[in-house]
Amino acid sequence: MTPESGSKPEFTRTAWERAAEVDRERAALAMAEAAIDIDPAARDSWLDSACAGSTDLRDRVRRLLEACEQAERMGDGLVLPPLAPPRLSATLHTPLEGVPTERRGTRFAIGERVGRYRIERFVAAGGMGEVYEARDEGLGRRVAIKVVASTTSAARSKRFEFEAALMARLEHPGIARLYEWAECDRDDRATGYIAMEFVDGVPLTQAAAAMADVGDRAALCLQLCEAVEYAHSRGVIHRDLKPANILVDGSGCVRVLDFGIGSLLDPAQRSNLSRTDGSPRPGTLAYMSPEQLRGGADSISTLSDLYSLGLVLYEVFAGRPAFSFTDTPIDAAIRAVLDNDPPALGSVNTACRGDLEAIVSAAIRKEPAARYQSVAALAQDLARFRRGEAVLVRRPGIGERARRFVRRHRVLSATLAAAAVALAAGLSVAAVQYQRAIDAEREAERRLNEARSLAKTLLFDFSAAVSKLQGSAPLRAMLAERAMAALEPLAAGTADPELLMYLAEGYTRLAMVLGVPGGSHVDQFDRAAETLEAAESLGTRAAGARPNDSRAWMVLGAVHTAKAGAAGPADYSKCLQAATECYRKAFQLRGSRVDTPEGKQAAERVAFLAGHLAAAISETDQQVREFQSSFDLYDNLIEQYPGEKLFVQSRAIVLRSYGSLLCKSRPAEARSSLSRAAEDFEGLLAADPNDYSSVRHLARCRVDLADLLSDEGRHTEAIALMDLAAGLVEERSRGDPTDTLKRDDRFDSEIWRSLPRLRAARSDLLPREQRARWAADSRSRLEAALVEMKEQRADVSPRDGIRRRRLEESLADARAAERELGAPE
Amino acid sequence: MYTPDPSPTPGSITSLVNALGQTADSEREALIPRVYDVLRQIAQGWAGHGRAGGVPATELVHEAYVKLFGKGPVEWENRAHFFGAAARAMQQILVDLSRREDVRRRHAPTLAAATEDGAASLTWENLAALSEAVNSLERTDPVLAEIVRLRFFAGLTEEQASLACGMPLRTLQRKWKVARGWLLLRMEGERGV
Repeated sequence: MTPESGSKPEFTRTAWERAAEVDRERAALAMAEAAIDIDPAARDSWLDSACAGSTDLRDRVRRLLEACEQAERMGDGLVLPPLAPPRLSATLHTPLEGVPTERRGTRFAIGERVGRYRIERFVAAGGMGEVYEARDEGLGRRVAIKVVASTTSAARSKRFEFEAALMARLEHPGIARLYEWAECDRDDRATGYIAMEFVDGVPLTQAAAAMADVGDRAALCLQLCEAVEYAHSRGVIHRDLKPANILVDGSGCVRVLDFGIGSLLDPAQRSNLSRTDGSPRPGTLAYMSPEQLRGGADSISTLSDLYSLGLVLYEVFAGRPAFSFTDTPIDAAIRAVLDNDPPALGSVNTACRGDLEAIVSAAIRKEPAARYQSVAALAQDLARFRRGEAVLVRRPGIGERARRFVRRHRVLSATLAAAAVALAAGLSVAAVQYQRAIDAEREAERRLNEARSLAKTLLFDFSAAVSKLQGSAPLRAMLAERAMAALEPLAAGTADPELLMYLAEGYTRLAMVLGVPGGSHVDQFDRAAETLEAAESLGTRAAGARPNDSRAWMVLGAVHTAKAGAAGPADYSKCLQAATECYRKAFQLRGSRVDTPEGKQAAERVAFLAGHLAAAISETDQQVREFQSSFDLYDNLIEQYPGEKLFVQSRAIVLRSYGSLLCKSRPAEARSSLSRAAEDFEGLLAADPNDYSSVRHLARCRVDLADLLSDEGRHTEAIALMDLAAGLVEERSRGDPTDTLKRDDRFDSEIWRSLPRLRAARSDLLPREQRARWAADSRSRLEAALVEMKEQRADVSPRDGIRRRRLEESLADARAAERELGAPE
Repeated sequence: MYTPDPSPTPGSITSLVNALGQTADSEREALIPRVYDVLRQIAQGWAGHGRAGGVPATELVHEAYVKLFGKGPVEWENRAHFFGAAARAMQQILVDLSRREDVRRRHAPTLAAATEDGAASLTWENLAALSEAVNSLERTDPVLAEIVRLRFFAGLTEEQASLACGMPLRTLQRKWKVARGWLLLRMEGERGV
């Protein structure tokens, strides 16, 4: 059975996974078998020890055991009875006494005369008995004969005669006439039958399906409502309205069949299930009102008819039944009738959004008092809708609206993936709706969370996907801003930790793209700082509400890290320490293990922040020690996960920082550390050429290495290496002029180029001519850069001020060198 | 063709189970009338179910008989094999029937659909789903699947099934419980309830 691993070339991973899944199932089955006779009280602890180390297995076994108990409770009932068939049948088709069990035309023979009718054709056997087409020979009209259960004379009480007479007086073009309720003697027993008008037509829903226009369908429904309303006004309740009982004849008239005959055919069931066929079959359950299903004294009323009518209208407009129970076990079907709303009409047929949806949903509320109080009222609203007037139906309450919104949004979200901007727009709808629903049922909230996290994935994943593409910073800023503006209303009202985490994360990302140095951003530092304040407060609330949720601490850690990036030197270390604490906690909550993505990330952060903290220390020996502890953490991680990109990249960043900090005090260590970092970054860049972060780091490694060369007097090598570094960022910057980060790097690169040249220009050991050329080159390039910078920035931010001052200082150096050395020949 | 015993004795399944276990190959041919009889008992459990009226027991027996013996002489290795085969035959027949029933219902004339209660027969529909679930259980645990077939499709009692596959009653009961739970999960999962 199990494929031999790897022996066949077509052996795919999926096949392997399937085999593995079968193995897991098998293990769970065996474990369940062992556990099934253990006392339920002791079972959990038994399972915990038996499945030690595998929560998956334990969960599977638990689920299985629960299902076993459930199956046990069902006993001989619904799904898998031992020797099920006879008992299953008894549950589903409790036979009425006397209801015929043969399904062929067994009551009457073709050509036979019954009363005043001659039987012409067997039409069908319904749950209630048999139907024949016959001819009233006296009047020459076609009739439908319904044979009722064999009855005794006692059953034919005065009351039934009265009711039959009542129905026979129903005279409405929309109602098939009841001609006669009579008995004939068959085999010495009285057999009741009903003679009704014979209607040739197609079911209402089928006729409606052929109509494209909602207005035409509404017209059909109005006809139907009028017929039902008429009968109600005469004191007759249908009790079994469903599409099969409503035909549209050749002239387009709606004809309702079997009006009220449930009570004639089924006297025993009158006050009970009131089903014409006496058994709650799934097919007809689908149109039964909850109160009808529950039974009871007032279960049958005009309002239960109205409910069934509402479901028929739903089907007419939706093109599919509100409930379909053909594949549903009967207990689930019953629960659905009692508790579930069908999907909002507007979500099934968008043409029905708004008034029509409101009308139909008001007809099918589970609580009779919440429905229209008469079919007439329903019909009036339907007529108003047809005329384009405002309908009177009470709008659904906030809870109902939230439920509907969630349904609508689910449909929406599937299409949202198409365009990120559309997604942002969809989110603003979500936010507004969610705000209204904040006080609504928890269920609605839970579902919204699903929808929201879907949106989150799409938005942020999209953002992440474009972030490495050139020129994406403004687009990402726009996306993030629109998304967060849409989500802002949520922040005020919520206490849901999931939502808080999500918001804190969203704000952090927004802040980063607005203006946290170190990544691509759009220069809005003040707004970034504000946004980070908001993120911190949300993140702190989330971690407070979920102190044992590693994700909450990760989110808060990210907030503090971003804050460190945005903070001045005074707060830098404080922010980093706060971030480290958060990640430590997250790592501990993950069992101090790196075998989950979160554990891995938390571990990386702790090591990384240790490096950054070390970088902020001023005393060299202590700094070296702190760096070493960071590297120890990395070594440990990389040993466990060799080649893991996250760890390699992270360590390379810390190596670089270590190297550049020790350039002056410990040049040899600095060089080896910077060389290792440069190597790592080259490797990362080879794997992903769009990785701009690695580009920057690599360039800066080379800058420092070049500086070390200058220190040793190896000026020509230093200049060559520095030009290599500058070229690296200049190339990227040219391709992406809107990106501030890259533009800044481009200005930096001019400073870089000038550094080894100006140092070389001061070296007396080199030919004067050469030195003069380096000074002149630097001067002219720096001048050009400064002009460019002034052109680009009308409004100079403090950070730009620093860069500009550095440029100006470099330029002044170059000019001084040039003056000293004279113009090159 | 064999004429079925007009009055099958109750418990003849159990006696057949025993007989199959004790009889030499050469004598098994003689058991076939009793096999037929057992098939009839199994079929009777199923007849009259599903949609109104269902299928006459004799029809089921014939189909089962053809499925079991239609391919020529059968060598019954042991009683487990026999009942397993009978249960499979019954499973297949019932699923086929349920499909036919389904097709018939879909192609019923309009008027009939209008007048007749279009109620689906829960039994038939569940049957096909159950049958699929059992088949997939077989891939995971053939023994459990066999027990379900014996109990459900062949309609054997727990005692009979334990005799038929030579498994202690307690073990069989445990396995049967677990199998029912698995099937329940499976079928609920597929319905997406």
